Amino acid sequence: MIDEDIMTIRQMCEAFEVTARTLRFYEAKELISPIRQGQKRLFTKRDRARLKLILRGKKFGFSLEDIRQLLEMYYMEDQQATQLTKTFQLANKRLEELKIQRDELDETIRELEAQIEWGAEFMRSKNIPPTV
Amino acid sequence: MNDSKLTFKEMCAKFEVTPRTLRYYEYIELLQPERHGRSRYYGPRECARMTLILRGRKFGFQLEELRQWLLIYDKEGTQTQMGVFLNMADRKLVELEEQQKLLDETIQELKALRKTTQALLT
Repeated sequence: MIDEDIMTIRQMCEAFEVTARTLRFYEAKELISPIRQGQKRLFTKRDRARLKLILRGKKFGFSLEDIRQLLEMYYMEDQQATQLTKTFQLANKRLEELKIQRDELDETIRELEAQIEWGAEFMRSKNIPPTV
Repeated sequence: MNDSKLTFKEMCAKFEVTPRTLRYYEYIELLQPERHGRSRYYGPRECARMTLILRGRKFGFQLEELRQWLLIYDKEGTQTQMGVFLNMADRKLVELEEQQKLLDETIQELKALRKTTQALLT
């Protein structure tokens, strides 16, 4: 099978900056389905399009199960309406979660800054110069 | 038995931690409660250490980092310990601010994604 569109696992790893282990994991989860030739795996254009979506979803913090559902929705013949609706809902939900995370992180930073200020004050009171 | 010492159960309640956590902290030598048979008793030292450990965890310090930091107090006293804390805290602050930046980027990207999908749907 000589096809310009086919990539080996090594080429895939390089192109997408992922490990072979990650690709095998996604395959086991049936998120991608490379052609198997004995031990070898050959990745098609379809696998690459799916991997791109998977990695994008991961970056947003979507679960693999959510991503799998999104990928399946691509094949529904409804001009991607279901897929888009689901994407919109997921984005909304994730956005709310991240806003809470952001608030918590802000709070932690404020507390740490207060601790640093308190510590620096303590050191000044003992006449200890700040260390580098 | 000294009344001012807390039992295992009281210690869990006071610091809102699970028995598992408390046993684990003892196992990795962050805490050394007094042992009487199967019972454990926690004095002011363990309580003070627990406060510092939990605060440190909240800031994102590793347990091993905290263990070593607590050793400094035993060996070299408050001032050295504070100096080391300030260095650790400054580094952690940079890390947290970096996290903040990444979080903001993801939030922006999600907002963009939401906008695009909405536009395609309507």
